[in-house]
Amino acid sequence: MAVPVSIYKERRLVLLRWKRATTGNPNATKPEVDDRGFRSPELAPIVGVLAGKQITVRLERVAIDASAKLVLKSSDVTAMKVVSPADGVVPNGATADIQLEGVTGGDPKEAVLEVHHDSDTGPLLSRLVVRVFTERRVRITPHLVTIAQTGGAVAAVATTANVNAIMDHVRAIWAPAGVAFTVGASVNENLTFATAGVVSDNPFPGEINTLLATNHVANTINVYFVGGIGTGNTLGYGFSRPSSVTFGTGNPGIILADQAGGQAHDTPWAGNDLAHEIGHFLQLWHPNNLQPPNEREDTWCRRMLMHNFNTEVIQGNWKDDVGYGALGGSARRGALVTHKDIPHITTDGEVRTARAAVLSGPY
Amino acid sequence: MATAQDVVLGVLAKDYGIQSAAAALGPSLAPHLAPLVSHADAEVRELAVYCLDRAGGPGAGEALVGALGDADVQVAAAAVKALHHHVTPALYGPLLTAYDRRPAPFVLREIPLVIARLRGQIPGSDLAARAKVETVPEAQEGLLVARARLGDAEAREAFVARLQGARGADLRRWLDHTEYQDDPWPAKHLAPLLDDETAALRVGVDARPDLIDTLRVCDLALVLAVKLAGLRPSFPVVRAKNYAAAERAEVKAMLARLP
Repeated sequence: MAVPVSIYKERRLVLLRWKRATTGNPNATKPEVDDRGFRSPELAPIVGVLAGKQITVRLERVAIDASAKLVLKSSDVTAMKVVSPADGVVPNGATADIQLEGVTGGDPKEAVLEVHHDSDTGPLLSRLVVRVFTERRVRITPHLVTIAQTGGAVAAVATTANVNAIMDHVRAIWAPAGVAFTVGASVNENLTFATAGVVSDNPFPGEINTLLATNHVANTINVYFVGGIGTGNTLGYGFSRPSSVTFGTGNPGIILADQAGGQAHDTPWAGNDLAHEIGHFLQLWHPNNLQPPNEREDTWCRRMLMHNFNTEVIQGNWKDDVGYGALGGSARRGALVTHKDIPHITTDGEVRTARAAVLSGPY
Repeated sequence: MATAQDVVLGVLAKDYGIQSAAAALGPSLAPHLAPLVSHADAEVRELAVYCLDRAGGPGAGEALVGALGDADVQVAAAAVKALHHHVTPALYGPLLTAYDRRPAPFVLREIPLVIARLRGQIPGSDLAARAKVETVPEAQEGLLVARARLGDAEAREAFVARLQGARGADLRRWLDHTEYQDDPWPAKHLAPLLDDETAALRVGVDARPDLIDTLRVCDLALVLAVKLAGLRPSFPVVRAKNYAAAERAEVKAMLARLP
């Protein structure tokens, strides 16, 4: 079937496109594809995979016949190989899910998945850069906090956080960066503060320092799960090491509340928020280090894990869909940790920054 | 009170909470932990390194040097960072040997920095000889910074050029290198950075717009210059602050008067 294309002088034809192989919640086996821009040095989208793991990416035929013969080839099978389709021939149809395996990693080791027409020596139609990472380990210490009220007039309130479910989301988000999490045994903490179930934050630091001093475990990211924070409008705080030193909190740590604004959050929200705060621990900033009300609102940045807001009010336009669905009328933030280092986004190249931070810690 | 055996079992179980017990037991723990530095499981080795760091003592230093060539770069990195706290003249030779075995670039950079913590107790010639033939950028950087700390005039000149020419994350690292000099000598060379208002370090806390969000190059440079040179400006110097132009000008003037 012919594909009609209008050309005046010259035009770059995008015959094929690489996409995340799912929508909705992050999935470690179906990672984000960093397809922002088409520029050197990659001149291709980028996807990350841990050595020894398999992932699936979606190939979409944009301007080529659905039955045109497409053949996949890895530029370096010692780094990455095609698992499915086993013969390398892309199935007919508008889209095809391609399964890849990271064979041996580095920081990273790189291979290019090429799509050729007709045979693996035919015309090159598309490229996907695959970065295969050796694992960087980050240790998490979860603290499940029960807060009693001074004087004991009200029953103590325990967090209801499901740590395992939340951490599954965190792992899925960070896996494409080659960052793996091991979660220590949950530590049950019993504290007495001014209000049952609540750690106060005003005037700053309120009861935050006491919380962060509770059974802090060195060389791990200490996450304190509590019922609520302050007057209830804050979902979480992340005091990275630089923040902790600057504001004198004694220890770094993350505080995550079960509810904020009177609403309990679902697990994907809490998982995305914790993954975002971990990003700050690993020296990632908000896109271009812009803070509200000047934060970036383009879809590139709203798809990024490090965007300022967990959710944004749905505007009813093209900006709403970054591929992660909505919660309670608000579009969710994405989970992309960027591979590309685009010059006008000063905080870009997040995977490289975060992996270096794991190594140079303590975070 | 936990025993050495408890700590060993804790490390084998990857219980990071055991680090506090290691700190309490102190240097007597090192012989018990040293064998774990060659355990088959990288995470066990890494936790053993952290516990050796907390326990300290001569035995800890020797075991940590042994971990510098670990095949797992996170273990080696943890060991070299720990050695900053435990280096002694007795480790000078073993550290040079570990360097010559060409570990990972991060470790190559850090070993000279560990060695130069022995300022006044070691010669500079061994590091200078290695600097002449070194080709790995990270190692070249480590050797330069270490030689500057040891007082090498040529290295100090090159150090200043690198410090004043760095940008972004590199500049933040060079400011760390400047603090590492632990000496007034680089303070006056921070003066040009007092005009640099680019963001250098995010310290902000999400959902707390009332707290300062970003420290700029000039803020970090000012605090560092005051600390290294022992200056006493007319205003309080704290970390959580974006300094006004007049405050920076005052410190700049004080730096200009340094010999």
